[in-house]
Amino acid sequence: MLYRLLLISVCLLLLAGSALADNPNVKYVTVRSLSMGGAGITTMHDFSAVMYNPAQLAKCDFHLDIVNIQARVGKDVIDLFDFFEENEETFDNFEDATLAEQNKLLDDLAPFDDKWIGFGGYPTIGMSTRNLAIGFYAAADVDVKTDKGVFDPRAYLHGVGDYVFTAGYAFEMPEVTRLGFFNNNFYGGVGFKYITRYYVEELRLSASEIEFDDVYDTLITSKETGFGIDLGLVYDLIPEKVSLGLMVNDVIANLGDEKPATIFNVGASWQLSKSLLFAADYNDFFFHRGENIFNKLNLGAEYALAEILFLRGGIGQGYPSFGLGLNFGNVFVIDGAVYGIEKSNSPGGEGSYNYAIRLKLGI
Amino acid sequence: MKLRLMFFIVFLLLPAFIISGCNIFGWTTSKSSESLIEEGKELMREADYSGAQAKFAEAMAEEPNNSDARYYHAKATVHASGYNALNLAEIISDIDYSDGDAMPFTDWSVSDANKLYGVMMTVSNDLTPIYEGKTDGSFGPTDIDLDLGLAEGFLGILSFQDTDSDNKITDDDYRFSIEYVEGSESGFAILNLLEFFDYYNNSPSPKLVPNEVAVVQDIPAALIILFNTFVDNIAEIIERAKIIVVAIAVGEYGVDPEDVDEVLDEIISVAYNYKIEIGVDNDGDGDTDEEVVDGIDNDGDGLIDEDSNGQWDPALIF
Repeated sequence: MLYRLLLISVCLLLLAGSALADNPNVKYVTVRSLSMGGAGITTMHDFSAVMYNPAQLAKCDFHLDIVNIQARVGKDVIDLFDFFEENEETFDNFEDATLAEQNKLLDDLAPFDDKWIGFGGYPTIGMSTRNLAIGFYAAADVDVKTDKGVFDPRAYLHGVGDYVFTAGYAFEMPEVTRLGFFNNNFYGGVGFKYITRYYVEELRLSASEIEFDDVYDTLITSKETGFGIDLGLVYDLIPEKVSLGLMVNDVIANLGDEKPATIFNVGASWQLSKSLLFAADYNDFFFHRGENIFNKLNLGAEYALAEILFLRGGIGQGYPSFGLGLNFGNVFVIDGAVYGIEKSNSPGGEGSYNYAIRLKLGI
Repeated sequence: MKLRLMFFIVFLLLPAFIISGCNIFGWTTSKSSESLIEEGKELMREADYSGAQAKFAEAMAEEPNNSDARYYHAKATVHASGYNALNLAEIISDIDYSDGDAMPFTDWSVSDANKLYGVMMTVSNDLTPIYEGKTDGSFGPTDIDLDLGLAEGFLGILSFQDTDSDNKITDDDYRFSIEYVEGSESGFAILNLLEFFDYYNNSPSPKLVPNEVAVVQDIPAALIILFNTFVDNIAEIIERAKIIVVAIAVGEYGVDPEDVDEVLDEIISVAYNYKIEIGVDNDGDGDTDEEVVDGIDNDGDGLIDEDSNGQWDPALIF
């Protein structure tokens, strides 16, 4: 049973990706940002600045990500796999089990009922230097849900995998835009992305159909291509201390037959001391997605405990997050995060916790 | 230094918040139908099905055309009752349909039968608007068709015990004795139709006709209407179940639609065989109005009082 589940999972991951299948915007996040509650519009100083705010490239040093792999797994996925492992015998001999045993198994599965649980992989290869970045990233997630049903139990699968070539450029904002007010560092940035998206369309299976071959044969995949242009701004309100940022996602964009929505995100950061950084983002400023305001608020902090060790914490969509980072001169980086995400439009509606890890080898 | 200390305290508190799984902005969420549904789903995950049922009922009251509220209310009702698919399958698999076996649920206690009847009634009421496309939300007709078809099928069978059609099975209802008759075309036969007419003829309120004693007389028209309406109601429910189940059985669930059709036809025929329509061959055996309602197999076909001629003999049971 466990082997079969793993096999299905791996195949799905290779084929596709995300709970946000109905959201045509590409969503890429870094483990560092996730551990800081999701904030990152004014805190990225490497290749990931292209995705968070291309204007931040103006503050980048040279980075080459030779291997940069991020992965996340839902806490529920781990619990579910543990559950399957503990009950493997009962699952394999389900038809021979007594009615009481079958019902117990059903009740024990209750905590996972009707809950999207997922995992994903986000590899990147990229290079960034002051004002410029170029590279490739992928965001592939798989989400599954079981539903005991009224009478008919069923399972759902879906996902989207985005494979994106991207390039970004940052520049000093021209004098005319300063309006006699923005006298400190003021940068603009443009990010371009060419997107290939693979869908595994949402699939419903009744209980009797959950066999690997059936699942694999029934998967309906499709592919779309498109592009998007993002714009960013960053202004140092207090040089080296306080920065304000704006990221406009998909100012011009097209994906398949859809025009992804233009989303405005704003952010700020405060470098309180050399070792302590606070950051805050507010996403979807113009309420395009109709979410509760607290769903869009990301607050975080990073504390450099030593030159190579970082503690991070935050509150993202109302859920606390925390993480650790080890950075050996950007040659070898490990980041870990535990964070919550809200899948409904309201805080506390349908939250789930995830574990994420990042391994990077680079220069 | 003070700030650094504060950072550490907050940092140490974060895992505790994470373990609790709470959203610190949860208090900002208003009690909309969406949040009620999410609360209900969370209670379902804690196996508190009754609590979840109440939340979904609130959500339905808030937004009657929300298919999510309706689907989850049906689901919580079924799981709170204990009549989930596993238990129902067990109940049905116990029936081997040999001669003399009671039709499913007709030999249950009144309270057990009423409980299951109530559950199926709720599922049917909740899911029918979704099936008819009158709702908005995540669930459409093809998401709930099998669930609704099953509920309607059970409802049809259980309706044999709701003889006063008040949507409850109580001691006030007449209890038909319906058994499997080996070799008969319909499979099941009603054994106590005569007593049914007597029961309602002597019903205290309202008394339909004076309790006249006669060797053979016409069954009072009011009783015939009562019985025929009852039969039609059952047939209508099962016909509906047939349409739903047979339509979805093709391909999707690997069930032969002819098998489903046959089983449901057997149940419908139990009702139709006994319908009282003068000049109509109700049981399709080639004879018309061949029996008197007297508790006797007048035509010797193994069935009692089927396709009757609208006459009865109350004297036999008084």
